Amino acid sequence: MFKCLAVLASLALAGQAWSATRDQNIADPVEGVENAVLADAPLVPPPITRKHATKVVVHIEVKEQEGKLADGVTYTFWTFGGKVPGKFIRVREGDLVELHLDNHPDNKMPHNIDLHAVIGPGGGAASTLTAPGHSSVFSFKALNPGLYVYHCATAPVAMHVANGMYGLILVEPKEGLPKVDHEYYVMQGDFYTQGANGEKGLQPFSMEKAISEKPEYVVFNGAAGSLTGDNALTAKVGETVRLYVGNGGPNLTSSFHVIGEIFDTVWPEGNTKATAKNVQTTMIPAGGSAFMDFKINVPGTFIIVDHSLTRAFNRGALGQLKVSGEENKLVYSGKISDEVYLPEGAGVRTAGGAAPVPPKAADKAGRIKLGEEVFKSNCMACHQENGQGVPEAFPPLAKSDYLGSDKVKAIKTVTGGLQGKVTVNGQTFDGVMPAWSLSDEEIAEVLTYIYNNWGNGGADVTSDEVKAHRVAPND
Amino acid sequence: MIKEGLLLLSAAALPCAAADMATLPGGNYSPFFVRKAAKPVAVAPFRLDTTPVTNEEFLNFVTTHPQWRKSAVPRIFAEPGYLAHWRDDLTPPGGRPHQPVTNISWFAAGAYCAAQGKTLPSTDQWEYALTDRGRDAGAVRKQILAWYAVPNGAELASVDDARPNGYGVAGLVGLVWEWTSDFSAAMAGPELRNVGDKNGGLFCGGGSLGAKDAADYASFMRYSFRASLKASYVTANLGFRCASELPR
Amino acid sequence: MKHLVIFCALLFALPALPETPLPSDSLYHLGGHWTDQDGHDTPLNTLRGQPVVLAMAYTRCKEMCPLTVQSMQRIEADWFRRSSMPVRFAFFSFDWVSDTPARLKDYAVNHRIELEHWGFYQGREPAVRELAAALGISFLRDEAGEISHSYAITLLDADGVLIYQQTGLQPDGSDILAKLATVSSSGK
Repeated sequence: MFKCLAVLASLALAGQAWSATRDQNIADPVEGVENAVLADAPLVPPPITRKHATKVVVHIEVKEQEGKLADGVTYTFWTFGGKVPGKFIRVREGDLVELHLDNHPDNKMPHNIDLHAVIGPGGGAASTLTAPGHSSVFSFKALNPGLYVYHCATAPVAMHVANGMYGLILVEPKEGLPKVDHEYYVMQGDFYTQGANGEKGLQPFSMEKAISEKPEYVVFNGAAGSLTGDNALTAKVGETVRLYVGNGGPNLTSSFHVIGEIFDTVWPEGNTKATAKNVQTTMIPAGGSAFMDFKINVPGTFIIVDHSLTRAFNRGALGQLKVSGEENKLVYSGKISDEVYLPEGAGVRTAGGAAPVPPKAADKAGRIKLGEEVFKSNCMACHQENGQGVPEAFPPLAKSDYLGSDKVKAIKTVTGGLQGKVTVNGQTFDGVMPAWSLSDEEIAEVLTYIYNNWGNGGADVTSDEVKAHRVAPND
Repeated sequence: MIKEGLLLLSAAALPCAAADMATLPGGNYSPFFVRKAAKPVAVAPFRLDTTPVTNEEFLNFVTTHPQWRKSAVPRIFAEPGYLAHWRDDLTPPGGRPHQPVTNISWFAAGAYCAAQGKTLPSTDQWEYALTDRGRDAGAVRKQILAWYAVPNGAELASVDDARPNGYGVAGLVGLVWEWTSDFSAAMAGPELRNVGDKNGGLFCGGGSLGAKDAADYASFMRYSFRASLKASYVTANLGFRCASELPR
Repeated sequence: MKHLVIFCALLFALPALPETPLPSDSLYHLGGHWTDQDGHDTPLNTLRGQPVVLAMAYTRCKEMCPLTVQSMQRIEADWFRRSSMPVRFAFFSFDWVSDTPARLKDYAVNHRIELEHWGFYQGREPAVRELAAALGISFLRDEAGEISHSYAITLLDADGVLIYQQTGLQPDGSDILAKLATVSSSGK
């Protein structure tokens, strides 16, 4: 009973705290006025240091212009601030934001803006429908902290968004966010062109593909290659990186992942209260965001992807974080060595477990017959079907002067393995022959088979002989 | 008195019906934003200019109606960008007489039409002319989307380049946006910014409005554009043409 | 030919009264042919000379228009309680078909509106469109005669310049009252 009451009480208090934050932010007095510092992706305006709410004046200019979507491919982007994504806006809980939406006179289209940080009709869209050559102004108080998407919401909305009209606004919590060495801005979007992926030239928007949700391009920051090569994000070993990641859509959800890294902390869906730790891939919905911190321990190039993989490798959802600095072999050794790996039938190099016991041959003819099977299963891969070997790789067994009539040498070779230079029939070989963990009987059979084929003299090898002359494998 | 006399004289001097007009038969058409009754709208037969009004035609108008020149027009009728691309009151851009005139406000467009004994077409009349009884609907939509897909060019095309549709009307799309007499009705209807919302009940009536075809992005854009305008606005790619009733 | 002249004349009617030129952004540049509730021909610029609180509405409207008129009545009452400066209240009808002067007169009587400060006006379609356009008010008249329209109470100064527009519901009209207080009755 008391437990139930306690739960209810804490729920009520938590609810109280939540609404108190909005109410507090409404009541927070606004001191002074400043012009917003905006930034183009992948950069982010600096963290806010002031400890009070202020009036922030934001000017965003809408510009329709042709730009690069991929190599050789251009697209008419409708942009906030001349680029896709639009400028990153950074304010603090309780701030009063006065937003001017300026529609450049050269533009053809009407535009408006919906910021997910706004509490009010259309997120501002209801007050900002603007014809070319005009400007709309409205203001809002930032009541909730978080990383929010903003986008154009003029009908048809999907088309305005598909043409690149989105960006991020960060409403910092009052206490700010943990400090990191680098903050970067990444925003994913899907693009629908009439031509197929890779088709060159100015590509018009395809309404059919947009409605069917079949994009030709899925990219970060408005173009394939925007975060690769010279445009890659950078950091040094030992530093911490934060990515503010948005997904403008219009349609696809992103499975955001950095190959070779783990997100130490994720603030899922752009919230600023609850974190998730040690996340490999975080889901970012269309019209949503997430931000994440991670430490850099080793150098290298870390690939940023939407882990819906064909989007990364075939449609452009691929970026790079290039890290320089000292290696740390303990954390990541890199390749230690390169070895031969030849799994063949039962005769694996150091066979664990008992191999099945083959039937014992009664006589030489029997040994030759059974030996053929053993040869085919174990030796043929290298020494070839007719014992001809492979020049410069594997010595021949046919008419082999190495074998000669020295059965002991043959037994030692098969049981002990052979490394290093060896000359057979006038040719030098320098390879590795593994030691074979075959039974005495099997070795007797295969050697008898070899000696009785391809001009090798016709000796007979018995299992007793193998047993007597067997050696342990080298090294 | 003198002023009215001048008007009389200039009216006499005006070339009658400066643009060619096509006669459109009446008919039912389904407007893009379907209204309460969800019935097709009946459009009575009417006449419509075959092309948008050009720089040359508008020059004739301001020559004889000096109160509409850019140095004289009252601000209530046209914002400061009115005819911005004209070098002065009587000098349109050189060598472009047949370009659609732009940077024209709704009041100026209406006054021009009135001077011809015409009016701006209603949105229904304009859209009816565009639907062209469904002829080449796919090609028209493609043409519109292609026009949306490129930024404004440095130069507008000439009206002479526009091909007439089945009604003989040319250049409704692909050239410039065009004023209609009731452009603001676009806002009073579906409340484009908050589809389905009555904007806090601040609209009388007209509740249940929705788009006929949610996949018709081309039309959505046209209605959005109209909704963004005020009557005194001008934009660099907004022009007009005139309509009239059938002669009796 | 003749009707061309009438059209032109209507559009550019010269104001008959004060010698001071009309400000460039005055609504009184609009020609517009209006008739008041008593059937008198009333060009728009006859309102010049004092601030005007005006709205566009129509008598059959049951939703926002009654609230609009009520709000204007509140403003009227509050204003004349504290000041003797003249202010006109104007109701311009959207409904060029049904809102005849007689009907407008009835409406005023039914709403107990003293016509000393008020005028109710019927105009033809072009005048209605032009006034709505100049005021930034959007409206749609459908085939059934129903009119959807946006909400606004507008304050013009004595020269017809729009100085304030109340677009959100505010029953006590306090914002308009505050603005009225800052406006003098002539030449501003």
